[in-house]
Amino acid sequence: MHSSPAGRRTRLVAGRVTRYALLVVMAVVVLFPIYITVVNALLPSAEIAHRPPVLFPTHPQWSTFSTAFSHAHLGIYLRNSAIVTVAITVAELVTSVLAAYAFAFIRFPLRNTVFVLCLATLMVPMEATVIPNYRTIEAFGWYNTFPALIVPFAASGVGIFLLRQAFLGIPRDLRDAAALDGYGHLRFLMRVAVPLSRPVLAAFGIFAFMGAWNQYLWPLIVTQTDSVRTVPIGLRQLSAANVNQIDVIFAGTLLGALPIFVLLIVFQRQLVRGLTAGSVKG
Amino acid sequence: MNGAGERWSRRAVREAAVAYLLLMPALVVFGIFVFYPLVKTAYLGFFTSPPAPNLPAHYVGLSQYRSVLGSSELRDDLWRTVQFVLYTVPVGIVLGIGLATLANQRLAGMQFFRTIYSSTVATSTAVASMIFFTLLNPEVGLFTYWLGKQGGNGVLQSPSLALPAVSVVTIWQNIGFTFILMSAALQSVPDDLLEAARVDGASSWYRFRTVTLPLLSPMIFFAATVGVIGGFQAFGQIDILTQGGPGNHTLVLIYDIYRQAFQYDNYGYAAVQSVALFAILLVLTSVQFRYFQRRVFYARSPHEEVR
Amino acid sequence: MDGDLSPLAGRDAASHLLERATATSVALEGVSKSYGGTAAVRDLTLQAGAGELLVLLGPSGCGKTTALRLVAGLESPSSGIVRIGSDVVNDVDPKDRDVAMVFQSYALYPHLSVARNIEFPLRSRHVPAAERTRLVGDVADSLRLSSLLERKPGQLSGGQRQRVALARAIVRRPKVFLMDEPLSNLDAQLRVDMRAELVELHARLGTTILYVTHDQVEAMTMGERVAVLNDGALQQLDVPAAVHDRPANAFVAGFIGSPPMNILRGRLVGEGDALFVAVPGGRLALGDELARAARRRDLDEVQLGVRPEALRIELGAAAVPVAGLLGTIAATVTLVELVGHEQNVACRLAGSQLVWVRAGAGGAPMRTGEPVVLGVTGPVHLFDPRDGARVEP
Repeated sequence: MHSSPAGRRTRLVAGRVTRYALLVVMAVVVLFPIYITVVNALLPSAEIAHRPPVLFPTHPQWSTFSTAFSHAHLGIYLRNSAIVTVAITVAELVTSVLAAYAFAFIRFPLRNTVFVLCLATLMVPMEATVIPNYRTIEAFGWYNTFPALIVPFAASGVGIFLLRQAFLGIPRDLRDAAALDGYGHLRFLMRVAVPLSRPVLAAFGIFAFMGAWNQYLWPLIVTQTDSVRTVPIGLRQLSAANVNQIDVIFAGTLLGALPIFVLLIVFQRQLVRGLTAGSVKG
Repeated sequence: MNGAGERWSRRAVREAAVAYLLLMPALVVFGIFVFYPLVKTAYLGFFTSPPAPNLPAHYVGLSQYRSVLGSSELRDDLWRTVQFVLYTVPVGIVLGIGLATLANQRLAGMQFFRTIYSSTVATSTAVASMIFFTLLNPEVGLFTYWLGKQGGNGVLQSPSLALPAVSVVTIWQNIGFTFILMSAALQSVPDDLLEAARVDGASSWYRFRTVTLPLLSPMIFFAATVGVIGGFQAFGQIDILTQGGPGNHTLVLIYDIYRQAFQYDNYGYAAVQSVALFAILLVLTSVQFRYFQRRVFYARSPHEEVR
Repeated sequence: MDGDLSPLAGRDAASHLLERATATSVALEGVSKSYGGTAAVRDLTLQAGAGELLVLLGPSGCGKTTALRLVAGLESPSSGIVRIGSDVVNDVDPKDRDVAMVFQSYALYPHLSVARNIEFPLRSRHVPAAERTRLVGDVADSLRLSSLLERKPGQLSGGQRQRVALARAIVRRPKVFLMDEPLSNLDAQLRVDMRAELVELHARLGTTILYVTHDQVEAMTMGERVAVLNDGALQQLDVPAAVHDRPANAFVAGFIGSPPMNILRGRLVGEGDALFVAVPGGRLALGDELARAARRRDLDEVQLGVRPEALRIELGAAAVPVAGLLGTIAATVTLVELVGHEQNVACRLAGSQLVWVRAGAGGAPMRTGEPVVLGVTGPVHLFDPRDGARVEP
């Protein structure tokens, strides 16, 4: 307060430099594991083990990625993950939209009880029920098939809850007007309720997509062969691989992460909404 | 009276039929894969698994529950799980708040830093674990080299360092998520409150402690419950990094269940452990749920509204 | 009245809209509706003739909107019969009743353009695309919406949204229009304009309209007949002038008019053949017929109804009896409201009851606290305090 203008300016600049320094240091800390994975994926195995370590690939070796695809079956894992994830996401969206519509727009007996039941599923984690579920899958003859990976996750308590909230935000008058105009429940759902809930649908869709993509325990239990294994389980297979192939492991890890990275960049806004939806904050 | 009531009920029946038709897909899935297995798990706990497959399971009543729930193995599993939670949750939240505060300044280029800080949400447990698995490889891992552990036992092979290492991986993987949560909460702190405090001459630390932190507390609570629940469910990182080793030093409850059930075929034993896990998670989720419900029903943010 | 064709006003712009102006009557017969234990509508019987504009008027919660929704089929009656034309429609789906509703909120689909909003009811009825476009164009023309067809409802003013809502109702040429407080979200001036437009529209279309409002001015100016509802029950159903001049009960009397009729507690006092109503601060002579009716009812306590227009303020406490007055009441000015060139004056009687007086232009400005004498120029109304019913002379 009593310092000269010049002194104040110096302090201001110094403060700004400190803040940027902190920001950069933290950025390096957060990003380093990803960065070094990229670097190592582009280095030949010999150079990865080189000491002192090589921190920048001067002669990037892109072929590692194609090796990861062909040799380590990453192409198949990615395909399987895509099938399973898209199927789960679509199924969760569809079943949640239908159920949420019933809760929000139709009066029927036991509505509250059934709704509480749907919410109660949030309290039953997959981890606590894997044993009977595994047996159910076996009994259905679904072991090591896509249905085993998809069907158990085809409905979501979170989805029902979020979409019901969104639907309750739609004015009752719109439903009444549509009923007078000749629109039954299904057509009102498709033409009005769903279009009006697009932001929530997008947020939940991404939430569901990420959840499905990252599944680990369940696919581990119900798959046996590469023909249905998803990326996380495929990566686990890689981790058991030879150290000589460590560049392939790096490349495979990167490729396995890539789809979600792309998703993050394209849908950043919806992603943030989706992740914070559970906390019901901005 | 004059038939109107009867007609209404026919219409009501039709409406109810439509409603249950719409609910059917979700209810079938929930029934088969959530509620039935929940009951079945508890039931399986009454049977000891046969020594060889194809032999009948042996009904033992509550005795298996008693022996498993009272066992030192379960206590150890739980203690390791609690340790894991204690390592990951507080550090993760403090880091998340720190990063969010850093990136919430009015400086140029903040969007760039925000993107970087939130980038780890794109890494799955498997990806994060794989990255560190290679970096901590006892022979060629870069971190092994930097930590001066090359040649000897790697970090993941060390009884004292394995669990902290798994925790670090988990913290790193979750940092993006925590950052996003804390940023969202921080951005909703009204500027005028902070400005009022500034006018009053409060130092920036004092402002943070007295204004920002209390307003962040709901989000901190949310992140903590999500973190604790996630900690009890953490499986992928253990499976990829240590498989419960070395010598059970990272054998958390969920991994023990997996091992008993799917490696040792000891279903009955694992079922009792599952019931214990469910009970713990039930308590944790109901704590979270109470809070969640309150906020959702009484404080819907404008963002949740459909325009 | 069924099948009554409305006069064709010779407008060609909206000519197609008149092609099928076959109006239909609407009736509720002994209809009740309750939710759980609470009755929203009690034993309601009313009929709107074919082509009539019938206003349902009442305070909020009186059941008027429920009555409308019962006609629409959005609610089903707990008992009683809903009739459109000669058909009982209790069990007919809303979409098959051929009624259109204009909601207080307008209920426009926010994600659809104006054109798509207007077209919405046609799509569900599988009207061919070319026909749809033509109909939407015509109705948009007649409601001055042509330049707004590509906008979204969010980009429109209140009045424009109102017209879109109307257009959507008109475009499918329903047998009956149901309008639920359609003007209540507009500002005052626009409301007056739209009132006139709606009346004109009604004249043009000749369709039966059930119009719900809580605004008695709207009801009195627009309705061919007005049904006054309170607490779920019909109070009076008559032409506006009759509702105003011969209110069926104290509720209607106290609801209609601006300010509404003063209802004073009084006591009947006989002096020989003459019968007076004594109120604190004065008394009024009753006409012969009213006196006879009151005597027949064997009343002691009464409710005296006097419209503010039927009172005159005589300055000064010393009142000189003036010819033509039914009586005088002493009071004190408590509040003066200037409404344009008129004054509404609130006066307090000795018994602390409040009386509104409409003082015309040119009168001396009143001061609060000033003692005055109110001259009653009539007519006056008597209501039975036991049930509020009008004592009919």
